Amino acid sequence: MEKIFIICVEDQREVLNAVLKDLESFEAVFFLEGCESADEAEELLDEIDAGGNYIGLLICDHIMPGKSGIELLIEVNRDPRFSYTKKLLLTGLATHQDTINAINSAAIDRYIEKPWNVDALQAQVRTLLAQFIFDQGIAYEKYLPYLDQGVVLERVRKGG
Amino acid sequence: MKETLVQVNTEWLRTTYFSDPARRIRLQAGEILLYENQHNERLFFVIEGTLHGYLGYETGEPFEAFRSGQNHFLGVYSYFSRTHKSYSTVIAQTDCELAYIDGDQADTIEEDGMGFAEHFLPVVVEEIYMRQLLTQRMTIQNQKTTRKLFHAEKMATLGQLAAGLAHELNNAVGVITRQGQQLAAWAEDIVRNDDDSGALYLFQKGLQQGSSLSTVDQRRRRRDLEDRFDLPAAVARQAAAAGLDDADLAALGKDPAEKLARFFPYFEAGLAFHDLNAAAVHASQVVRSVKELGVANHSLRIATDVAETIRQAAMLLKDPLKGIALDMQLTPGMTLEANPGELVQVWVNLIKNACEALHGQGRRNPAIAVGAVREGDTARIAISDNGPGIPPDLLPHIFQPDVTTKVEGLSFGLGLGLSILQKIVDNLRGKVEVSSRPGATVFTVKLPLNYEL
Repeated sequence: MEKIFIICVEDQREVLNAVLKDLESFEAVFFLEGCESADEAEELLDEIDAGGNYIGLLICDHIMPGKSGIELLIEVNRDPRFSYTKKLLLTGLATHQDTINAINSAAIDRYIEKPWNVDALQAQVRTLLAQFIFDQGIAYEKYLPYLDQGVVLERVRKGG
Repeated sequence: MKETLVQVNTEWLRTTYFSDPARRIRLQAGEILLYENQHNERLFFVIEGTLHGYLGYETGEPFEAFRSGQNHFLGVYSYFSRTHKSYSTVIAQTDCELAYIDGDQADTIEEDGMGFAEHFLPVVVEEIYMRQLLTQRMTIQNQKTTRKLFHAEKMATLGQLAAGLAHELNNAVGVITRQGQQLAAWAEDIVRNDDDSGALYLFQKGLQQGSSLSTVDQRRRRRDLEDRFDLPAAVARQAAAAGLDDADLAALGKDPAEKLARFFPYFEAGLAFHDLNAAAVHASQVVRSVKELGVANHSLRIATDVAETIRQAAMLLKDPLKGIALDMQLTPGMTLEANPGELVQVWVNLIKNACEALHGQGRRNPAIAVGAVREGDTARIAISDNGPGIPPDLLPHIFQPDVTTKVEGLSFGLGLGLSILQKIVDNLRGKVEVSSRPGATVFTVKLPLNYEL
């Protein structure tokens, strides 16, 4: 049985704890991992991929020491192994230009501004995970309670 | 020497017009030849001495308009103009001797057939030229003053804004901090009354230590626990998250999984209070740095050794400096009157910036050099790194409060660092400059050494 991972990258430990806590409910069917730097995330991505598992969603902080979130997302976007991975940028620096750059250069699927609203964050995660699962043709039934119902309905109708 | 635009036959003019011994005056240093707007029908020739012309001499803020010396003409404007009014106040700087002509001679015609006015045309042209130079000088002076005023105004506005913001935010953060601590204490009391001591242990662990293991170590520990203790994945994850060591697990008894499932929420509650407090502390640090931008602390100025403050800064930055070659050449004994804390902040800021520029790049042989030397009455401190350099388009703006060069690697600071730094250096009547190209970024701070021990 395949494992689907949600990876959160955030250099500030307290912020990472808060994100992970807010996404805790997804752990019923998904695997949730936290990373404190882009380099750490890349190692973990390699490892998960080598184990034959999926990275369904990569949630990434914007500004981090060392490699920034945008750089990480750009690299992941270029890597054919992770072309399917959904990418969400969590940013405290949502200036217009910066966000445009991020979306254009890293093919980010969504961005959320800090401080985030739990419901909005969870809703975005449900939407992206639903898209990922249908894109990949993974049997969705088991994940259903954690997927966005609108996306599911649309995809099922299309597929049917 | 006075700049000359046209050929003035000074010698000829002097012997022809200024040789009447009856038309001579002597001035002592400090004496005034002409007042601004004074009626004047004389054209002077300086035989000896120096005189300066001032605008607005009566206002108490005189602006030097010209300097005049031997073989120069004075009163050209008032003599030749119809108004006959001197445009400046002319004061002898040294003892002077002047010759002059007055109105009567204006109609004489010389042997060469040229009129008086024609002979003096070059002198008049030169006067016009000098006035043009003066206007330029005044315009430049004006621009400089306006720019300075504008900068001061901007800083003052920002300062007020920052102080107001800091006040409001400090109140809010203060409530969060205090109430958070109260809540934590209250929760701790409740947990203490729980019949099992494990709950209190885990609550306190969360509250006091937070997430003690990094995410990498947590994953490692998780695997270790799964292998060695044969714990289910979910339990191993919790034990790793709570940073429990082998002894802690042993203390949980025969069935650690069951106990952990029961006690883990206590750890999470403690952790939540811990993180709440950490975030509030972080927020108040940000507030403080915003406040420092606006409010300079003049209160604590003592004789401060420059080299010592640099050493302190390097000590504070031990951690970010890891893996970077630091070369410090500090001239001892340079003291100035300053707030040592502020000065340390200046160096911390610059050295930390350099570290971040280097860390972001994975560059080989990262190095920072700090040099402090005396140049006359000034301490010159240069902090250089061999990082990638500041983008040229960003360079002119880096001292503005909203600009950060650390698009990658900003851990804290809101891009306020360099503007705070400039404010501190400004207050010490110093200067900060930057030059940057790939491989060599140099921040130079010049501080006047006005205080000698």
